[in-house]
Amino acid sequence: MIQVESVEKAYTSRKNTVRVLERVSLEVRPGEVCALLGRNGSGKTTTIRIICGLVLPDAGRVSINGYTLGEPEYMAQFGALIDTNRGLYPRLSPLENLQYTCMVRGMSRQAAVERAKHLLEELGLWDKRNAPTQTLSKGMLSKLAFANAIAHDPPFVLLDEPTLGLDIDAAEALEAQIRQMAQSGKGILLTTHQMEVAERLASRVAILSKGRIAVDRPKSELMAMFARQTYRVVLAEPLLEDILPMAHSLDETRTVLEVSLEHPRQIYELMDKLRPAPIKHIERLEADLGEIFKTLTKEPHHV
Amino acid sequence: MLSLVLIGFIFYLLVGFARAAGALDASGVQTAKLLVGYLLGLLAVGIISGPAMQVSREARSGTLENMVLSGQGLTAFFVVQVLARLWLSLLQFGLLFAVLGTIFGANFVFSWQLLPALFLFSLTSLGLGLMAGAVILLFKEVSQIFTLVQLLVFPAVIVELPQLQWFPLTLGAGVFRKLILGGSAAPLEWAILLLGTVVVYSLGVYLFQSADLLARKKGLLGHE
Ligand SMILES: Nc1ncnc2c1ncn2[C@@H]1O[C@H](COP(=O)(O)OP(=O)(O)OP(=O)(O)O)[C@@H](O)[C@H]1O
Ligand SMILES: [Mg+2]
Repeated sequence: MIQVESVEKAYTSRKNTVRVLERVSLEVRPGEVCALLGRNGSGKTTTIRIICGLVLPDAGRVSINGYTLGEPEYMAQFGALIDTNRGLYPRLSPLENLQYTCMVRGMSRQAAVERAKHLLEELGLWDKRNAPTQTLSKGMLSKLAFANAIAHDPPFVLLDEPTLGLDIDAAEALEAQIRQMAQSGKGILLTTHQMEVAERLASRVAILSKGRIAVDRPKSELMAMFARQTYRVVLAEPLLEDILPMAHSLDETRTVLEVSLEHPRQIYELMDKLRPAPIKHIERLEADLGEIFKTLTKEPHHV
Repeated sequence: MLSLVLIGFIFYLLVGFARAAGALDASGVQTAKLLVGYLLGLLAVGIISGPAMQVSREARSGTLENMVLSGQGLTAFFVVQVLARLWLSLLQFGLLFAVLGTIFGANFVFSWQLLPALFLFSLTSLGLGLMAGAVILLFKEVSQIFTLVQLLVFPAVIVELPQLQWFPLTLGAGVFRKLILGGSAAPLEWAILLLGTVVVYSLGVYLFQSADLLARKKGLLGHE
């Protein structure tokens, strides 16, 4: 388990001090995908870099599977994708890059080559395996950086905006890969600004706001909390008169109706009123993580 | 190989100019001294700029972070890198000595004591290289550092100025020069050289580690 306990971080320069993390605590358990969300500059990358040991916190503690930073085992507990466009040797080929990472992580040359080849095939980079890395496209670089992060098959994986710059197929493939890693018991912490990605992948959502974790809940719980009492009703015939006492909207064909209820029990009242018009279909609209996110991180905007 | 030929050619020009200017006597001792200084200078610049250039390259490609992630201490990594390549530098160095020494008719005396002198000289260079690496880790001013290194190193090892007597590389260069020209070094000189090396190397390690720590506090590690 990754445990971040009461971590504080301020960046100080001669001119000023930026307090980024005030008291951040977070846990990531094996088998879960935790999405760390937050607006630009809220400290997501800083949090990830602190877990990686690339940035030292001013206070607080970080441990993974009981190991703390500084213990040699700590670094073996996780892999991290810090920046999808950096972190690779530009003149080496993808194969050489991955092989190097594996060997530095203690694999034998033979095992490293095997692992590197396996990863390249899995991520669809096989054709480019011997090209200089600097000649790869942005999306290919992202994939390679991802492969590089998980090269040593660590139990925890940290991903800072992993789907940035990927095309639809590549993004879906990456999502599938992340899901599969979680199923096989790996714990994943990822940041993203793409709410759909978080909504599809996350089993837990943590939101960073004003230097703290404002929300940290299982995604289903969060979605249920914010589930709107909004129903979409599709009618077989147009609704000719406004017969509903509750707030609603009607499309121009007057057959698709969206109704917001104050209480779930009002659904019976709604059905009752609609009795003269045959109902084709009725559904409750899902909450949308983007909306939830906006509500929870509402703050005055500086332009 | 090409670079070796180039190095030899540059020295050939250097001697030509010096002779034309009447700066070299006929005995060949000064030519030999110049050669020793020139080659030691090249060796030192090579070793010093090793960590410095590598820090800057790895910071630019973002691989410095991955190095940290793979659990390697940065200091240990750079020291090992330089030491691993040292034998190659020394081999080139020896080759150049033999070839250029023959061409210019220098009467070099090769004794086993040259090796410890050369090793201490290299270790001092490594210490200086770590200091340069520390600066680059924090300020990323590669080209300025590099120019500064060359400006400092060559005078320190080529010219025997009393003002430069205590410059770290001067000690090692002095002992080496004496030995290869057939002289011997007093135990006190060895002791001072050893002490100087330990001090410079330790200081280099200390400064590099401090820079690493500071970079992490400031969140600058691996940033371009
Ligand atoms: N090395 C640094 N020195 C000074 N300030 C920094 C440094 N790194 C980050 N910051 C500041 O810390 C704050 C948080 O940055 P961070 O990169 O963690 O945000 P983020 O949540 O990842 O943002 P984004 O969504 O844009 O990636 C920002 O105000 C940023 O300017
Ligand atoms: Mg970020």
